[in-house]
Amino acid sequence: MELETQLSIQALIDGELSDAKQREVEQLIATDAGAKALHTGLSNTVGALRGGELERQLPESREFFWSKIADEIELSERREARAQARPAASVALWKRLLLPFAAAAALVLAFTVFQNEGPQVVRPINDNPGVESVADTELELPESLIFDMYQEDATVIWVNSETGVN
Amino acid sequence: MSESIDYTQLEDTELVARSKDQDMQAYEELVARHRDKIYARAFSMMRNEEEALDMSQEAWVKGWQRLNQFHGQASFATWMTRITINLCLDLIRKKKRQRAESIEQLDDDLGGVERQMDVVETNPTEGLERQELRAKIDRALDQLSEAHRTAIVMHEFQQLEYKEIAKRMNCSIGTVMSRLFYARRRLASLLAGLKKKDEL
Repeated sequence: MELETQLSIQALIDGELSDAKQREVEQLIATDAGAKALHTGLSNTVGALRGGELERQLPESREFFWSKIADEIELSERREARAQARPAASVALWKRLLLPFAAAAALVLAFTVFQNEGPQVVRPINDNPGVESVADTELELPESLIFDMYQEDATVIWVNSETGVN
Repeated sequence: MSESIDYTQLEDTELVARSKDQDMQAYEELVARHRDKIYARAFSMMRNEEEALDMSQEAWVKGWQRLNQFHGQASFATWMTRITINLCLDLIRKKKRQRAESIEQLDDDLGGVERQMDVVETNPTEGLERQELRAKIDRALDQLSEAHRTAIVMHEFQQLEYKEIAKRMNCSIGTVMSRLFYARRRLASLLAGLKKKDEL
């Protein structure tokens, strides 16, 4: 007998067949000795297994077992509460760490821009192409820059030491 | 004034409702009522006292955490045994991965032998007392592969349908059918063998 047929006989016992397939398999069992034997054997096993789980007693006292569960529930609730509080705390921490860096980076950037600012050539629009007019203008650096860092409650003052050297 | 409640007198449904309102005493009563059944189901799956204890404890913790998902379609005990089975399946899979061995591999190893088994037509459990029969089934379950035992536990003890078992075992319905088939034939053969041995 093919495995598919054997599985159909089993499915009949388990009530997993459609009406049409059920009639077909019942017909087979009625006419085929092998199918009938398999049906009987499987039915006996299924009948024996029904409600055949061995009853077992949990090998710990009610109080001890419950105390472990209660502890675990309490622990997991505390863990959950901590996990929920964590994002807000981590954002505040990042803010605290990043703000000084951002301020320092802004300072360095400003300093670099002013340092690298060389003589700038300004070419005004010349209406007379015959005459070339070139004006060299050197940008003057300010004597000082003041940054207010409101969030840090601080003020940074940058003083240009080169001013007035010439 | 605080009311004094005798939790032992309350129905499961009432205890569940109170537990949903964070009443730990109500939940403790539910644990006390069903802990043996949950443990027995975990043992049927794991075949190991320590793991069965761990799994049943974890199931009760999960049960508390998921109480709001229980809407009473099945009994509370059935709902709890389903949680237990899922936890056991997770552990079995984890152990399998650790052993770098798949359930399918085990099936292939055993399938070939079982295909050659004769059909046991006579009732191998005839004349046995219920408790005696349960003990024999338990001993026979010990000798099945995890995949076959899991299919039997879920179908025969948990009364799950093929498609539900397939979903939980992460396999096809056809695989469930063949696992059940070979598991039953092997059990029939083992029970017949145990009966003969006891008669000697």
